Amino acid sequence: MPGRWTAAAYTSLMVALYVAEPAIVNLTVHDHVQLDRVTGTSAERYGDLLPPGTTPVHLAAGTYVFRTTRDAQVQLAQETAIHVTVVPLSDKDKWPDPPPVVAMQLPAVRGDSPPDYVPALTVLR
Amino acid sequence: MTSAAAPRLVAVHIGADVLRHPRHAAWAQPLSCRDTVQRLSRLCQAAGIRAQQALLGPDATTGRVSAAIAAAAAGTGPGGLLVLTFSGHSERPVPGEHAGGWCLHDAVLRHAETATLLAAAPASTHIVVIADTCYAAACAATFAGVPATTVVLAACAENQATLNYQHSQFVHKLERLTYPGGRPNPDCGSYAWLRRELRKDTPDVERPDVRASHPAAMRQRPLRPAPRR
Repeated sequence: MPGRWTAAAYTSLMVALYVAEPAIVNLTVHDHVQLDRVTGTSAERYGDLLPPGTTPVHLAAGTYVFRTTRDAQVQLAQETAIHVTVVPLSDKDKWPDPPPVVAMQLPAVRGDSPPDYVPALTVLR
Repeated sequence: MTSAAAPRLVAVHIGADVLRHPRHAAWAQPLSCRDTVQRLSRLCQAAGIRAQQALLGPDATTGRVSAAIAAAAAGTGPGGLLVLTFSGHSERPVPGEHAGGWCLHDAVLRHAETATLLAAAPASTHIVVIADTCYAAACAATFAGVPATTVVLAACAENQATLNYQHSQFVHKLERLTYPGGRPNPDCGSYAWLRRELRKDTPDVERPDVRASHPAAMRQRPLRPAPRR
């Protein structure tokens, strides 16, 4: 019935990784996370679901996105040619500028509202 | 001696990928609507549903969609099956204000309005709603109020968003689990089974769900009329 139901919090952090050359990154997440490789207007799942904890992930050159309900950490080796950024889910028109060499458009969500809470992203080098 | 008429099976598919409402027009165009409608039409065809209507792009107006749902609900008859599918953008429920809705070509069709339209179906009708959108499961709470038994197959929970890709992973998986290659999957014996399989190996941020207005409906074979009592 309308009005009887109360929405649970909508919590989401979306992260994009622009990888210029093959590299290994350590992703630390606290839930089960799917990493997608963006290919034009589509995406393909990249590897198995990442379990909670730290997982080293081998990335070929390309653009990747993942979403999580909790804080996340991306650890990069020094001199790694990877650009990491948070993708805003609150405004469908505003996207982070990708690195100059990348023309890939990132996916949007199919809903109208910003998350109630956006977890934090920490990038370590 | 005359035999009882076979239950009527109908489907309405909505693919709202052309939005002209000022609030929605600037959003990214939903990319998977056509593919989703095509796949779900094929799935319904495989399930024996011959009476199907698709409303796509500029045809997916609140007027046309409402009329199609109302006609389908009224036309199913006792013991029938009505499948209603939606692909596109959604508005999130605002507690105390509204229960959310589907963004159509000209405006939002609130779930409460859709429930009113579905209420025209007899109580013995089985209604299946396939929601391939953000906050997809939000409609289940509202649709639970209609007299007919409703089962919502949702791409994600009411507090989750789906990404706008060319193809819907949820719909691909649904097709594979129910009617792979157009043939019924013998393992797909209940909505409870389907729910388990849809949720397997999915990320916590976007997990499909199956919600029935009555627990007994979870034991039914998916996309079939309710068993006669």
